[in-house]
Amino acid sequence: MKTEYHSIRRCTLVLLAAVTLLLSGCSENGADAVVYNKNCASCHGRDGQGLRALYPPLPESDYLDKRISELPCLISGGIRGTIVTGNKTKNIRMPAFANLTSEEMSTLINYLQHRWGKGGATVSEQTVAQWLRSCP
Amino acid sequence: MLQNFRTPSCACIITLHLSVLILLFVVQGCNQSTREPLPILITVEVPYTFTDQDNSPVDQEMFAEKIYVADFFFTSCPTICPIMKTQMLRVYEKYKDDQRVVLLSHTIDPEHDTVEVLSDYGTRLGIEADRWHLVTGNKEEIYNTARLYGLAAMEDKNAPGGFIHSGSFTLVDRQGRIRGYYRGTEEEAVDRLIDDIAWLLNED
Ligand code: HEC
Repeated sequence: MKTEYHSIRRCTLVLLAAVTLLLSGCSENGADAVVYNKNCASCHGRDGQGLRALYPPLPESDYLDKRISELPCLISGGIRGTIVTGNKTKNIRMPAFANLTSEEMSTLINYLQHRWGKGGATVSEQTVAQWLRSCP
Repeated sequence: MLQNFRTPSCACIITLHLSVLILLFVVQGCNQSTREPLPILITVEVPYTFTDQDNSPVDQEMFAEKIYVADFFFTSCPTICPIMKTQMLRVYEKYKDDQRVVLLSHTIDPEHDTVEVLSDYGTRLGIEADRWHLVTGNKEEIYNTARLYGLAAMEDKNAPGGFIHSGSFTLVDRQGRIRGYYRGTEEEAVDRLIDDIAWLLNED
């Protein structure tokens, strides 16, 4: 009887925790995360944590901060090319996301900046489109 | 929080529904205590020798008397592979000090994924080659091997990254018999895999 009571109590705690988690999930703006979750989260992680030395974490990236104007081009062009350090060839690339619309791109840029950047001003779709036109 | 309740979004309602379902699952899980033995599926015999990230030959004889997990991936895969690798890392961290358990990932893009590329990938992941072999080799042989494990792998120019492959992990026992398939992209499935390995270690 006593152990049963304990296991019920444990279950209740787990349930409460689950509900709290789910509810807190609701308060984030879901729509904005869609572009990121669909295209980027597989490598950089749902929480931008990256994966060891394979995929860099995003919160530390300069591209979300002082190099924000280069970010749309980095995303649309990907990162390519072989890097040679010491006697090892590094050849892990980031794919290009050339077919994101400028609306999706600006949603993404603002999501990245607000979630993991230093929270600069919201970037308009026009500005993003302008940055994209001057890609190298 | 309150504001969210006043204007519940569609996502919110769906989440709440889901949460009820999950709760039901959790309650069920809490009552479970005994478990069924794992099914015994096909026996795999791989007649090929591949090469791992340390440039060492790898054949199935090395896995005799070992429990191992096999999967198929490629290093430039943009979609499910990074998630599979995140999940496989959990298995790795759990069993890396247990010599009875080994992991084996085959690249299905051997033209790009040379020993050098796999070596860099393994280093970046922070894994030891003798505990988690990343192997490359003859393309035909790798694709045949996927079939022997009952998994799909093929080239497809239209797929992201150029290949389609199964995201499953295959669990093989000490006698070379497949004991289960697990979705390598799902945390809960991989929790089950981790449990099943522990169970297999105690079998007979
Ligand atoms: C297939 C895996 C993969 C996907 C998908 C991916 N990235 Fe990357 N990303 C990488 C890799 C690998 C690097 C590091 C490349 C290097 O350093 O050579 C990188 C680097 C970056 C950087 C620079 C980080 C730094 O260190 O400053 C940013 C920013 C970034 N990615 C954003 C994104 C965004 C936004 C998306 C979605 C549109 C995305 N990535 C999708 C693999 C990926």
